[in-house]
Amino acid sequence: MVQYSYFPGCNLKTNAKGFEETAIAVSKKLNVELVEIPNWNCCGTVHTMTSDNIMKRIAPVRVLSRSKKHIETLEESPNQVVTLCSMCNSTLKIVSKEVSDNQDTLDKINYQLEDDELTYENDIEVKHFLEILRDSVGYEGISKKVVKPLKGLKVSPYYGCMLLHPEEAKIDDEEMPDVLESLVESLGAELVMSPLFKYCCGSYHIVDQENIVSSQVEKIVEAATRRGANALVVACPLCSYNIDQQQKAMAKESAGFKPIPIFYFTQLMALAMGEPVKINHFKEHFINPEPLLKELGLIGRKKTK
Amino acid sequence: MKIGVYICECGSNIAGTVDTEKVAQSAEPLPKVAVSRVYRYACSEPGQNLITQDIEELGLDRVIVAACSPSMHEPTFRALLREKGLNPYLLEMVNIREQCSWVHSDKDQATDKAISLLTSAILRNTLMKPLTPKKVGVINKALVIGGGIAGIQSALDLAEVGYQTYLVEKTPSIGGKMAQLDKTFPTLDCSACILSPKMVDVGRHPNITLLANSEVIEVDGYVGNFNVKIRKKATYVDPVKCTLCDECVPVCPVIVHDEYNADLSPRRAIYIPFPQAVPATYIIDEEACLGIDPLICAKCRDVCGPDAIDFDMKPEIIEEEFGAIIVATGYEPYPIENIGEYGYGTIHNVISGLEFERIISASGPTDGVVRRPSDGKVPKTVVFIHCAGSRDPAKHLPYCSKVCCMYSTKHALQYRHLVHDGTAVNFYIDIRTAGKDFEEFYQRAAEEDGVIYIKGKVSELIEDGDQVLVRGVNTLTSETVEMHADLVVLATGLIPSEGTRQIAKMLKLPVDSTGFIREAHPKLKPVDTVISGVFLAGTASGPKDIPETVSHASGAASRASTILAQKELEIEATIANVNEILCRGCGMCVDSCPYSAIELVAKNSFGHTIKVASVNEALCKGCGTCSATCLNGAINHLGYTDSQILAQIQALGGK
Amino acid sequence: MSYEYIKFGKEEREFRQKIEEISGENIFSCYQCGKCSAGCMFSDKMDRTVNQQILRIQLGQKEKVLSANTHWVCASCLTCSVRCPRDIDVAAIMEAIREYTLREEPEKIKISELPKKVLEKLPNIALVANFRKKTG
Ligand SMILES: Cc1cc2nc3c(=O)[nH]c(=O)nc-3n(C[C@H](O)[C@H](O)[C@H](O)COP(=O)(O)OP(=O)(O)OC[C@H]3O[C@@H](n4cnc5c(N)ncnc54)[C@H](O)[C@@H]3O)c2cc1C
Ligand code: SF4
Ligand code: SF4
Ligand code: SF4
Ligand code: SF4
Repeated sequence: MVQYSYFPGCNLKTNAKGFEETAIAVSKKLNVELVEIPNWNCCGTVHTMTSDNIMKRIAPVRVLSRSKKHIETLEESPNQVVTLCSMCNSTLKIVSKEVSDNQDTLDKINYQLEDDELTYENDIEVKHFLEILRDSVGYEGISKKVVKPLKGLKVSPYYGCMLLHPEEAKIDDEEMPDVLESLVESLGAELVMSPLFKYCCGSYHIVDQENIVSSQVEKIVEAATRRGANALVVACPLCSYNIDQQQKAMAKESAGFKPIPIFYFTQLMALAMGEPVKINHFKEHFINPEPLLKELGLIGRKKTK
Repeated sequence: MKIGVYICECGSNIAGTVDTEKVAQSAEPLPKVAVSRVYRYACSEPGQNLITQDIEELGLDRVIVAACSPSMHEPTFRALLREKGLNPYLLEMVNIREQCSWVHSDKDQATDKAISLLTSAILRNTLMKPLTPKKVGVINKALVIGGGIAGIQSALDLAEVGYQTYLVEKTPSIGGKMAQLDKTFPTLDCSACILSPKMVDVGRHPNITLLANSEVIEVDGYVGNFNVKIRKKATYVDPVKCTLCDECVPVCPVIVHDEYNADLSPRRAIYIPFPQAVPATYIIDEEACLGIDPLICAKCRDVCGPDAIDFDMKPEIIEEEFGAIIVATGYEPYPIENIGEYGYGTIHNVISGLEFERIISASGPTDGVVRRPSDGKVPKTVVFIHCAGSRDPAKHLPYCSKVCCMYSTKHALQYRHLVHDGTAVNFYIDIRTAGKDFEEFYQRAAEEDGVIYIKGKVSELIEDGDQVLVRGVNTLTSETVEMHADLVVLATGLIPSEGTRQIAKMLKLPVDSTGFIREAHPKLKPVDTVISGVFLAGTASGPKDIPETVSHASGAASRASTILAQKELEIEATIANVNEILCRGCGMCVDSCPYSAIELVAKNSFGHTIKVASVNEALCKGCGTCSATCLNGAINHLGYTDSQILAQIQALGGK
Repeated sequence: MSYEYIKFGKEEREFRQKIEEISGENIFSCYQCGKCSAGCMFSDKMDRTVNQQILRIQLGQKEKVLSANTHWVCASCLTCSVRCPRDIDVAAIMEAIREYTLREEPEKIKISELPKKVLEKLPNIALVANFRKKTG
């Protein structure tokens, strides 16, 4: 069992519990253990694009420093910190690239860290869990653990921005990625490609410009359903929230609108690997996936036959 | 007599609109036709093999190919006949593509037309006679007209191959416009530094005879044998004696504009064009000098130590024969005073690109400090206006002058290098940077040198105090914009030089609607002209930058070599032929011939001396004007005799 | 409205330089191909295109740059940055315009005025991100 220092980020403890629990469960099956960093802090969510703001860079560097300390306590652990949330992934990757290019910035940030914190030496790598699955576990290893191929599920991968942008943070080719596609296929689901696979959901505008988010979501969902998708798969709690919640609102407004459920990739894995349904926390979804899953015989009575 | 007929389908180019089988069948019953076939691509190797095989097996002695224009494949099939021992002039091409399938859409009508064209060709072909082309000797000497970078390059290339080459330059020094440029895009190397070694080579090369201050005044003859008259103007200074001491200059009382500095500075009547001039000698400007007369003024002669000044020097006329001619007479800037709204000529601080070249040049009138003409102040804001005259079919030049985007970018960048706190703004319609390293150069100007580009054409320039108010637009923001500039530089377009226009007329070279000399083929013969033995180098045929000019010039030299290397040349056999019995010596043909190929000669007829027309076979281009003009039917065109043409007409009318 | 007097004085230069300093980008690298705007999925809600903002920064037109909603509509998706043929971090320029404003008036949104319901309902990822972008 390889142990990874795991950085959950805030949302996996609040509104994306299903994401975390399924990830931890399936990783065990794949001989990977995600060990949470003790006393971690928020990474800052979005990376600052200013060149001169040190303040906004302290939080993510602190995460790296704590992770480093954590790794030292783990056994057989690669020098890597793993994230599930694509925003955290992006923020941590960018900052780690920045401080490795600029010792001066790193020195200034280190100076701000608490006395008990490790001076960050810019010596750990940030990995998204999808990268671990692709590069260390391999799709074949995943397929082998599938006990219940996701037949009938027509899944359209939705990357959002932060898995693929910017250059420093991308986990795949930014215009022609295939990590989610390959994963979906290795779980036995049908792949539905949508051209709007990274069409921004409107992100943090949900706080004060909801109209922006709703018009984005409408287009994203329409593009996927028009091509036959009955589900979306994502890796970002904010994408998930925006799309899920807006669909519910849209369904309320217009009877013609057919919402589709949205899954974290780890939820699909957990379903295919026969993990208990409850770890998905489907009750917290705005569009409950259970009716569809039941209809397809992926959960419910038929399953336990 | 056995005629073979071949109908080409040209893929679907012909077969798409013409029923080729039907056309082939129509020929079968005609007299002398031994075989009539259709083939997909007659010009292909299997297509040619088919004809060869028929010649061998069926004993064909004449061949008709109904296909594309003879200008495409006549040489191909003529060669085939020659190879098989047949007379190549017994080949006939019928154009059923450009003149039939491509221009029609109705298949039945197009097929009928193809049949008529073919029938008339067959009837004509039966009347054709074998012809033998004449041969003429070749003079292995070349003439290059114009001593800009194009002429210099062509002359050096020819001389290197070993041909005696005359380089005739109108002005007192070779170098052309390039000698006036400061630095050159896209490398920014100093123009004079890269040009002067070549100029020096021209001056020194044993195979080059440099005639500066000279003009071609007459050209006669034909490929391989041009007779040329050149007038070499008097310089009044013996170049051998002149030591370049400069003593004469300060004493000369006459002050005129210095054309080398784009008229921005003065010079005297006795002068050297520029320090690196080749030939390196002072000369007296005939027109400016008080009279080339020691009785009026001889101040220069009086101070000249080596006694180099000779007021009695006379112009010379030099007559020479050449095998090939290269026209490298270049361009001149568009007269931007024509663009009234830009106020060039009335607003002092509106200048041309070439003027800016001089202003920014270390050897220029301001010693390399950017100063504006009105008050000599260093301008803090300079506006460059692209397409000044170009791309304006309504009033000025319809075409893009090709080099001005790049030179304006160069100017703006050079200005920013010299005036660090200055602002350079380029107003443009499109930025055209199609050349090796050109786009990189443009990007660098913006990125590294902060040159500002505003998309939009300036509408007018208004003098406002000691500044110029630029009234323009920013089409990217959809705003009209105004700004004040201390200096405005117009990216002047390029037009054919006066010398280019003169030479084109003298050599009867066709020109484009824009006045530049037309190439024989815009793509495949870019350095040939329609007159064989005459080639084009550089901007005489259209705007070009220096790299393109140099390659063009080397191309012209290489094309000229293909003639100079021959001992003798074949000339076309399809030319005019006088029947002396019918000729009455009226001379109408002499006047009608556009190539001056006919003259009246005396001939003894039954004891009387009469005049008859005589065709110079080498000059005749076979245009047929004379035979159409002759009232007595005394001139036949070999290959297109009256009887042949009548047979054709009959066939066409008989339908 | 659709008129501008162009000048290149101290003010114009300082504005441009400040944006360059905050963003770390060379504004003059932009040759106005428009690809950033073409790919921006929020263009329909912007009153000026992204490339126009950049052009105006080149020209130092501070008022017009700041009065546009463009940089506030930008969601930092970085599509423009990864596609710019001149390798300009366009989103960083949008960020720089936001920062420029926030450094003078730090509250684009007033957190205290947000309805409690919003604050409770929304995931923290949205709130933290928003406050980082819209407050100084
Ligand atoms: C402002 C400006 C800046 C430029 N900057 C650059 C640059 O940075 N880089 C670059 O690549 N290009 C540049 N160019 C283009 C460059 O000038 C031309 O490509 C080049 O000069 C063309 O050379 P040419 O020999 O064809 O013509 P020309 O230079 O015009 O030479 C023609 C010569 O023929 C002579 N002549 C004309 N008629 C006769 C006649 N009848 N008999 C005898 N002689 C005759 C003329 O006196 C002249 O010497 C610039 C052009 C301009 C206007
Ligand atoms: S003779 Fe002519 S060139 Fe000589 S000094 Fe007098 S005016 Fe000048
Ligand atoms: S090269 Fe540029 S400036 Fe010159 S005419 Fe063409 S587009 Fe206009
Ligand atoms: S994509 Fe880049 S170069 Fe093109 S307009 Fe936008 S910022 Fe400028
Ligand atoms: S980062 Fe901003 S400006 Fe760029 S494409 Fe995304 S939303 Fe548009």
